[in-house]
Amino acid sequence: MMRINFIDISNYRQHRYSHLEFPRKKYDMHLILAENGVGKTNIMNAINWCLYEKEPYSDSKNKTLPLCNQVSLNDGLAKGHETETVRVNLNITRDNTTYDFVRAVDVPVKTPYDRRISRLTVTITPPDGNSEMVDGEDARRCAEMCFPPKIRDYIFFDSEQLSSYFDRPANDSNIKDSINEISQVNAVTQAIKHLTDYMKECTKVMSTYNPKLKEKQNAVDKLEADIASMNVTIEKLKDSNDFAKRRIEELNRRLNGNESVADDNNLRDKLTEDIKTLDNQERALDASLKKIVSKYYVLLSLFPINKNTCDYIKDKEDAGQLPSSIDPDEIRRSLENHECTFCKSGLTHTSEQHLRSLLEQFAVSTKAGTKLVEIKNDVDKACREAVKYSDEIEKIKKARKELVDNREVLLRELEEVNRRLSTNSDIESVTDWFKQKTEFENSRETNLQKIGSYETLRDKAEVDLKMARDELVKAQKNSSKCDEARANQDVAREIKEIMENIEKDVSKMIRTNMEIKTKEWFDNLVWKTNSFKEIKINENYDVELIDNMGMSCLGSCSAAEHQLLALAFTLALHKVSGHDSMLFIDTPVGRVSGDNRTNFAKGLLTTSMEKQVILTVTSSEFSEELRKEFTPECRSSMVRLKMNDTEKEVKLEVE
Amino acid sequence: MADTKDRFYIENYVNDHIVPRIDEKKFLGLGKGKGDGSEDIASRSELFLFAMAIGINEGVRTPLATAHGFILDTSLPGTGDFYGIGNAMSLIFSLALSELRKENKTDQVHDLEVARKIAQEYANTGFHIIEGWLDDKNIDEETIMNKTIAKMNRMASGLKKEES
Amino acid sequence: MIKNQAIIDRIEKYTAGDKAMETLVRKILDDESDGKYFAKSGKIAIEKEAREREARGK
Repeated sequence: MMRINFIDISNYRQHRYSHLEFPRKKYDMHLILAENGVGKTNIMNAINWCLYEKEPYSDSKNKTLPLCNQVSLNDGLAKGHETETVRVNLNITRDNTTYDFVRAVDVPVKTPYDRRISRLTVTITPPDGNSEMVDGEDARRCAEMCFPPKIRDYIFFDSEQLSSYFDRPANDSNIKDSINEISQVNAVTQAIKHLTDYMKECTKVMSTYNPKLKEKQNAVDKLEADIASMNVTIEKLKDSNDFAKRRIEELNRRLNGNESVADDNNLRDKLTEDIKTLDNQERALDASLKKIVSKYYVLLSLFPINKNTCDYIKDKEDAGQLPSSIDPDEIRRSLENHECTFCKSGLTHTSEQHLRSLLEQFAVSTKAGTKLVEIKNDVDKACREAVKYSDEIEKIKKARKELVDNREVLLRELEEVNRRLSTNSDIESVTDWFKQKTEFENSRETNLQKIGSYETLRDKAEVDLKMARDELVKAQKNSSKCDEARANQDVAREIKEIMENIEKDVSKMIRTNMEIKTKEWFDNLVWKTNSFKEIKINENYDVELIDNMGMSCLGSCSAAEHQLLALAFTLALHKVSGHDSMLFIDTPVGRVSGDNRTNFAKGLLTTSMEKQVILTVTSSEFSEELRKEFTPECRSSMVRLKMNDTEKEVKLEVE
Repeated sequence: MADTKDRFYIENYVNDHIVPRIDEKKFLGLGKGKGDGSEDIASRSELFLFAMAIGINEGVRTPLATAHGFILDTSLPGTGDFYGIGNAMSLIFSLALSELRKENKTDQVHDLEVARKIAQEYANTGFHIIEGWLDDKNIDEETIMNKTIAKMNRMASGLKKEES
Repeated sequence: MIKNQAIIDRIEKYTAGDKAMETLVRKILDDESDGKYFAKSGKIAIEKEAREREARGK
């Protein structure tokens, strides 16, 4: 847990000298009250300047005025000073250790716009009290450890950021990058990258001994890259389909909510589905027809030839010119041995004479005759099969006619349903819903086909990758000079696989936990029980809010609900990532009015029971709704900032 | 020309230019699909026999100028029931007998090399006719399919007349 | 160094009892999160482990 103890600002912009203390009470809620232009935003800028030497929050005067307070510069000039020191001291406690950050820069009084190098020092005091001071690079690292720059936007907010929290351009990966930074998943990702580069280095070393290795490694690299790319595409298509599915369900609910439309909508869907089934059946019928054509064209073309062959063989058989089923060689062996080769009984004189006359009868050469006997049955079957063509083609014709007739009936029904739907009184909305629904359905269909193709290609690529990897390993093993490099690469590969599992696991866990925690916080903050069913967060950390009807409703939420969701997301982020820090919000309710301010105030107060919340508000923002919630009993501190008469210096009044 | 005596050959030109076009267009369902289950897949044996049948109908044998192995002998028996007739190699020998009878050389009917040569030359004719169909911009696959079916109907009615 | 308990738990899980590997993975990740150059620390640790494995006859 991290909180700010005090901020001490000297000569920084409007703040000639401002000291803000943040003592802790039951609610760690702190208010800084000031009109616009008095220096509220520059308190956030002062903190950022102290930590990072940056001033990221807009204040129009910062562009024209020097960093050093003008009154101080004028005083310095009058007193003959060369420089005046701008100094910001930020004191925080993080996990029982105190960090005292001090950044200072000497600004020349005569040329105050000249850039000078500032110095940052940090005094670290652990619970045992033994302080240590660091500066330079160590101080910078210390600042980044306590306030990681990438998550700065989830610690320090202004109201514009809160309102546009979820309006990010497509492909904006800032939230994902930030979360990966806070949760240290970035470290795992970077390690994987370094390991991959190292493995390539090892291959390069091995390639100097075996040039073919480079080729094989390139082949593996290309396949891995292709598979990764295909997986990304498949996931995007699946996400897109999930989104389309939810939209279709939402549109169906709207259509079915309109009574006169409900039955016709369902009928329309059924008819469309039935027509699709008929289309599939027609395609299958076409495929069957092609099979029939390729088979029977051959059989019919060969029919006259086969018929003649059958007749020829029959004539030869009838004339006894073909070998019988008894092998003539068996007959010869029987005669030589004077015994039947089958039953082993001795041959009589009559039997031997009979066998000799059989041999003499084989007028056709043994081989040719044997071949004719061999093919006889098959050729006969071919003739009988050819005759079946007419029945087969008739079956197809009948089936096709039935399909065509059925389709015509369905198309007529569909036309009638569409006509009825078009006469509906709420025609514009209904037409639009149908149009959207059809577009989503078509897009789903297209995506499904694409997913199928990509999955097939990917599966094939994975098989190829396995083979390529096996070849690579084989090639590596063949060169004994590569042993050391290969051994290093093996270790690196093993580590890389472990890290890839960790990265995937932890990323998924974070997203799931973010969904759960965001919903928990949002339920607590929004005061509307049971209005929202769930929160979904995709891989790019785009947030979808789903109501109890299963409809996505972020777009229809009020500004306050938007901001509360942003707050809930941020609180979940702090919890889930393990970087639990304070929140500093500049004019949180600037864009929110009336009852919604009450909701937001209640939400922030609840939050302040668990973490420090510092708010800067204008007097118009500090309306009755806020005053009712942020009573003196409920807030730990309140400070009012006022400009002095010269309007060049801020004065603090502690309330 | 043909080195291994365990397969049927087609010309290099046919293998390089005609068969790929048949595959790409999935012509009459005779092309070999990419294996993803979404296209018609016919075996090479079916394609060879179909081309051979076209050549037989044309009545012309075209000797092969070059040789590229296309189907193994073992492909024709297949799993033992090719086209519902058992061993389709029998059709090759039947065709060989028909040709050899014209030359009074029926004692060569058992010679596989002789039978192979005859089948290959009829198939070669058939492939070149298919190339003509593919090149002809005035006819599409549906027209060829309809013409083929019409021809088959005529052949089938010829059978009926014979039977009666 | 790595402070996310979820990552630490999974280092243990995915190294499945191999203490040497667990230490190595943890070291590489700690160095990575502290911004140390991989070439100066991680690479050396990997090569050391490879030599030790060779010596163990793995």
